[in-house]
Amino acid sequence: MARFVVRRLVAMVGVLFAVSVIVFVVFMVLPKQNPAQTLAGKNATPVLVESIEEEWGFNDSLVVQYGTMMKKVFTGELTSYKPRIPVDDQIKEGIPATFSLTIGAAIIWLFFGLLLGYLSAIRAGGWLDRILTGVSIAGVSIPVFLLAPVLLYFLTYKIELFPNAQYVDFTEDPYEWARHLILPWFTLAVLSIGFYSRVLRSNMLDVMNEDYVRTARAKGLSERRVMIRHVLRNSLIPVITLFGLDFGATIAGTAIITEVLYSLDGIGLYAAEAVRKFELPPIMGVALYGAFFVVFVNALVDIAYAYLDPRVRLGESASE
Amino acid sequence: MSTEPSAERGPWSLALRRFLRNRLAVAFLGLFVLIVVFVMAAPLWANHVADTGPNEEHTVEQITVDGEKKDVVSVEGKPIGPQWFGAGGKFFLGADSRLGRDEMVRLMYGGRTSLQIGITAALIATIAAVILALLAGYFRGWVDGLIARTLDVIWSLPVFLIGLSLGIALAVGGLKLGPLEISSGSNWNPIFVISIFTVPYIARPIRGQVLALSEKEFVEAAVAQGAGPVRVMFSEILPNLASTIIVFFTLMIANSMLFEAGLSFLGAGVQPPNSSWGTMITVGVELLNIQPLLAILPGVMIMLTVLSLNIVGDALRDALDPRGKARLDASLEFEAQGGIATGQQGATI
Repeated sequence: MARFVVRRLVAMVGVLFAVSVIVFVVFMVLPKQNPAQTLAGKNATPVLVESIEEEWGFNDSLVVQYGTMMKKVFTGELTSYKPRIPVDDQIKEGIPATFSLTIGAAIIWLFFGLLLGYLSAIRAGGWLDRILTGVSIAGVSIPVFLLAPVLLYFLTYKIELFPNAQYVDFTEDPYEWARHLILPWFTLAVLSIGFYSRVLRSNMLDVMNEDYVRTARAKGLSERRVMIRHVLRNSLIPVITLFGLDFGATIAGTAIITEVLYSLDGIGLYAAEAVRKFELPPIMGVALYGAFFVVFVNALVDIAYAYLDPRVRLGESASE
Repeated sequence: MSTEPSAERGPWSLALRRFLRNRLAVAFLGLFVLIVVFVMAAPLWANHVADTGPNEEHTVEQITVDGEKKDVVSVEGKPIGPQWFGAGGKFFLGADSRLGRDEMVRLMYGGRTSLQIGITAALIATIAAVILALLAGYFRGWVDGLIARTLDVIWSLPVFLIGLSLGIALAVGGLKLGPLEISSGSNWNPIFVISIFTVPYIARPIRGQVLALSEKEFVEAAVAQGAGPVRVMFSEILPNLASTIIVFFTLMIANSMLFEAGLSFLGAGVQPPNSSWGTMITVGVELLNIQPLLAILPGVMIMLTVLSLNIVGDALRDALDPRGKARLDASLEFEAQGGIATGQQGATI
């Protein structure tokens, strides 16, 4: 186990380094115009460009420039230029909304995904299974940028059941906090509910054919107990890993779009506004922090997975 | 019974028959063809029915609907709603914003852009992935090590976030990579971003197949006959990958279109004044409470296109690979995160 953890952490450091180099290349090397101009954004004054050039040391070698960028991002010196606002503070301000959204959505998708998958598996082939399969395929097929406008239009503008977004802090008013987040949670969760229920269903159907399930039945255990203790438990492991990985991917992906659609004051909305204003430093900060967070979570999940399932740490997949 | 004719038919015609038997897939293929026809007809509609271009503004104009004059954009800045054929097809779906552009024309041209980007990006990613997979799987050793590690790293990135960064960096600064140069407003920028970050999703599974295929006797036979690496890779191994490539290409178009829609929606993809379905949602959402169709229609178009491509892709897989070895992981993986946020599912299922 210790060897696996060390190997996995070394791999993680490698990926973190690669991520930072990629971000550096994306912002500093690939753009055609000079990086100071790019950082200053569209229609920047020459004075601003010159001061950025000095501040970032674009005449130094690439290695030094990379060092400068990393230092700026992780010591909180990174600022957006029109007007000058530290990126760190803005990201910190967005954390409560972003985590309320993603964690809440994750709880919902896990709960309903597993529930629907379980019901569908124990009634495999029946009418309930068919309905649930239809529902999950529909859920998987609706992109957030369709689901959110539809929900907003009908439930917020038409019948005014839910408020039009904006984030209310939990400490301020827990009830309003939840009321404002229900639609975004649901929007973000629908896709994964569909996906997870299908994965759990197919896992459970595989496990049901295992010998130990027959043994459990032969021992005279009740059907419920067989299903929950033997089939469900053994089908959960892959789902849980998937969950760890998807959680990171969701924070850095669809959550951004969801925040924008519901104008939730999170990190995603901050990044999107920066995109709209062609301001690059905030995006650089969000990309680096976000990517580091995701890579870190993935490593933790792998380690937890190896702890739960010895086959992983002994198997050849250790390099992953 | 029917085994006799099948003995005479080649594998492709068998696959075609299996595909045609799948009515749902055929129906959705029909839908996809309709969508393509719809967007290809954009210039016809624009020139002969709507009499306007996709980016032409009509802010202070009036149109005659059933003999009655109406503002395209009202004094309060509210665009006109759907007129259907009331004005002879002008503003069929209304105007898009306070700029008063014809929504129907933009929807058709936007779809063209979305499909073009989706198909081109998928094509580039597939070609690059196949070449990388052939090199890695055939030469093995350090070549494989280098390619496989690089793909692993891209795979483990939060692809959408990095893609968003690259998209906006290119939208501001343009691209210069050796001989490749793209100006800042070009649609080639999102194509570049999407194809780079989707390569691993195709290259990894195909590399595995190449590894297995290059152990086969026919490869040995070709080598014994004196065939060089290029010939073995491209005329011995490549034809055996054809069915996988077709399936992945189809699914990848859907995936790329979702990626493009996400990027464009946030402003890091297609740049104004050009439209794509993604940018149209951005514009439409602002007016959601008065003209809901402006945001919902492009979303519906994206969904129908992606859904039909996914269903056709799945059916192709069933038809081309009836024993269905790798069915679950790939198809679920693509549908999973709506494509764009696709994480690492494939590695873990």
